[in-house]
Amino acid sequence: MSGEARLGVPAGGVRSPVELIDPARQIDVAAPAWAPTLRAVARREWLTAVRRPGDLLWHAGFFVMVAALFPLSLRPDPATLLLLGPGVLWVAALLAVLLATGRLFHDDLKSGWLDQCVLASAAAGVPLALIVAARMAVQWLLAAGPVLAVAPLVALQFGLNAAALGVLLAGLALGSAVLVALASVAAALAAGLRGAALLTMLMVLPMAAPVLVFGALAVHAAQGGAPAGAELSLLGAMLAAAALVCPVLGALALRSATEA
Amino acid sequence: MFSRLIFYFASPMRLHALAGRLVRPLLWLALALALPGLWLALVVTPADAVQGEGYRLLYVHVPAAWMSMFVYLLMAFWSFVGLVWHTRASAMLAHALAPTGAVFALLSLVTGAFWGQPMWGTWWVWDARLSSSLLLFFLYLGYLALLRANEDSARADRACAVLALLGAVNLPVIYFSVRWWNTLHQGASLSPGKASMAPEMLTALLLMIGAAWAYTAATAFKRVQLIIAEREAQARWLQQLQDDLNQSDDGGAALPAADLEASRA
Repeated sequence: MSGEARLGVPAGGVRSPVELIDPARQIDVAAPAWAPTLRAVARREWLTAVRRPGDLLWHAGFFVMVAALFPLSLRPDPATLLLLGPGVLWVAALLAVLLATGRLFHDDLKSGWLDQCVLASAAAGVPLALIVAARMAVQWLLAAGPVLAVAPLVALQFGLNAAALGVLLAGLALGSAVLVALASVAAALAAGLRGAALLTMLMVLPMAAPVLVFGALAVHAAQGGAPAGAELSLLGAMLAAAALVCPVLGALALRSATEA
Repeated sequence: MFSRLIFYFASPMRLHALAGRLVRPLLWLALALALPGLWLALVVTPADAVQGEGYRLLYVHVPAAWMSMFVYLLMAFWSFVGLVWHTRASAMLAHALAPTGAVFALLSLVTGAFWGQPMWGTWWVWDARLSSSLLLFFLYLGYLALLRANEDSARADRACAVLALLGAVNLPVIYFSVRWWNTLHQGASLSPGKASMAPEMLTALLLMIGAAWAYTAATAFKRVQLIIAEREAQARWLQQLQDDLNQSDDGGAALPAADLEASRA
């Protein structure tokens, strides 16, 4: 018998030590089954939402209505609108995102889907934080997507020029992602409690204020012709921090919600 | 050494005993610091050259503002300890600190408004320092609302801990806001090593800050005693303690059980 056969090594050699344990390569030790689980979670969210397109239209419609209320209640002359435009648009976007994300986990807790998520994360070896992050990503598409789609029309009403509109869209894309992350953590904290939607808003508003301030500052700067790179970078930094911290804290909150 | 202290008092029973021993001395300390502080603040120190008598609100405003920030820092710290080491007592201490912190935040906003009206001519201005202090007050309200909304105490502890940690980001913003932005609020006049005010004013201010600290500690310990008594109501050590208290009130009267046995005999 050759030396290789005595050791149980297949003829022709091995390419990696894993093949000694698992010649048929059925277990992918480098990548535990994250992709299927995350894909399933994202797909469920997406399908649930697009099968009720009214909700998506409502997110956009709410944004348009709130943005329309301000010129109606104040003097709608162009100078005032130019001054108010950035702030009003950002507040309307903030409220639309908060409303959309307020009861994110409430129904899931009641229906038992959250328990399934916690069990699935344990079974598939996927960290619960990643499942929450996948949820947040899809929620961003669903909550911020309609707002971003409608924003150019509303910005036209406020007389925003092209440069300011570009900065508004970029800022909204970044800022709404931060807001969705924060609102998801707040929704996870308040899931299943009485007055969950209101509680979520109360928790998110102090933390959403910096996003609002810097987003509106960016558009103001662009309106005046100055570069808005600094404010947009700050929004990007907030997104980087939120994307790292919020899924972990959200997973913690969901675990305690399901254990209760 | 410090961690051993934390873990020693992580048992609600020991924290209850410690709190009980400390509340009275801390209240007396608060009084002992507040009285000379107020005397110095209101009587001894002369009126300010520019601001007149109204500046004396400083002696309430600054301690309230510092304590509101310090209490939130403590809440964030105990929340972190509770989340990482799963100690129940640290969450209870955070819950006990929250209302006092909220009161001090509101007090600093109100006294600031009363000071600002004669000094700056306005009750409020949306600059960085005032806005972030308002946000701190809202953070306290959110914490208290979440605490109230949760009936399950384990979930309440974890949820409030997460919220406290998230909101702790606001603290450096408040503290450094007068340096990072051009604000109407004055810059820092106190820093380790130098102080840009007269010695009597500095002494009065430090005494008032000490009094605020002692008062906060006393109320937090009293409140944590109440929270422990409420949560651990089924625990034998607590029932034993309450029986001992009832017994000493009766002046050593015969226990009802003894009567029962006597009547059965």
